[in-house]
Amino acid sequence: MHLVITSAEDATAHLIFDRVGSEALRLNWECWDQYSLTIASDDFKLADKFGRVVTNETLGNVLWRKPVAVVPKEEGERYFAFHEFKAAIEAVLARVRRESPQKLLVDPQRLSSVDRFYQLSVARAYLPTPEWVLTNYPSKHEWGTRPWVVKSVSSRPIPQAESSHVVLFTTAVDPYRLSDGWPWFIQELIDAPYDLTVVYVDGASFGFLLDRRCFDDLDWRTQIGTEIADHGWVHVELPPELTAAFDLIMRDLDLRFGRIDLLARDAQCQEVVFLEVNANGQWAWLDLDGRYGVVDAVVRFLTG
Amino acid sequence: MEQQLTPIDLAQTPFLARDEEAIRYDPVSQASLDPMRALFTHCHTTATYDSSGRAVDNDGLQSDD
Repeated sequence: MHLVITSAEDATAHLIFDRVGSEALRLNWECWDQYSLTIASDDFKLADKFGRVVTNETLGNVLWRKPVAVVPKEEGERYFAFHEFKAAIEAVLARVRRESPQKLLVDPQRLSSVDRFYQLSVARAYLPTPEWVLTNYPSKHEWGTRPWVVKSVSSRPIPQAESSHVVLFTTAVDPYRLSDGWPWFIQELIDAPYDLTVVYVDGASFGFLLDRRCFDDLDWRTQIGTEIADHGWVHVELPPELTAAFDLIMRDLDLRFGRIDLLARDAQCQEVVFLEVNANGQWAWLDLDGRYGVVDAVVRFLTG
Repeated sequence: MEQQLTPIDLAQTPFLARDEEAIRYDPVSQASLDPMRALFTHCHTTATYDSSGRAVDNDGLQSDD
């Protein structure tokens, strides 16, 4: 029995479970009190309310999706209980990590050690990468005349007092205008007409292009929720030498799954620049009806 | 002298955040699949699920019905 850790509202998990049926147990964080969990010295047992059971002996692979329940502190005892439950599940995963790490298809602990800087240093052996620096004293650098952007390393939003949060998207900037005292991730601006994102699933690469000329911002994520960002991605056949480069980058990063973001200077993806790997990035919106095989590939990855 | 910029000067409101409530209660919308979902998702801790693991409303309907 495979285990998928997610949310009851995760539409990507819906797509997966439409295909895996009863081969996997779906643990929805926000429904934590509707599962039976027992952990003893030599075993654990997790069961859902429909009779699916996973134990230490029957556990297959584990897929950790990104959604995480947020239990308000105002819930008091339930807030405490949720975190007890979550810590217990994490202990189960820690045991899997020790005994059968290959079963953890997407390991949250592993992801934190594959940071963006490391990704760029690995990738530049195989693909062009932009120049970059992180500094909290931009005034001390010589920036020359080339264009630059600022990006977020953590992707955390900036809280706002009265409205919802705001986000530091990739934004063109004159580094000489940046205040000292703030950690700035500054990267060479790459002039390219296409965003290329690649869903990498255990050796298979699925490429999708977005024409950046359809919107004004440098960062397509500012457009999420609009027609162009949601439906503008076009499947593209990738050159073999490019997929070979992905294999090498992911091998060196010790990742079997991820969404690789690049910029492409042509629609055939002959000339690309590597940006980053989202090691547990979202992917289902690129192939909602499954015509390109991404969902099936993820299902094979889970059940293989 | 030109203004020296801090992060807030360069930050933007995401398109999705302009209609966050609609996203929260429309789990099969494109938003529930998008790459920034983690920024906007607040799961309902009182939710329940059906045999396929999908969220079910209090009235017994699937939340995407």
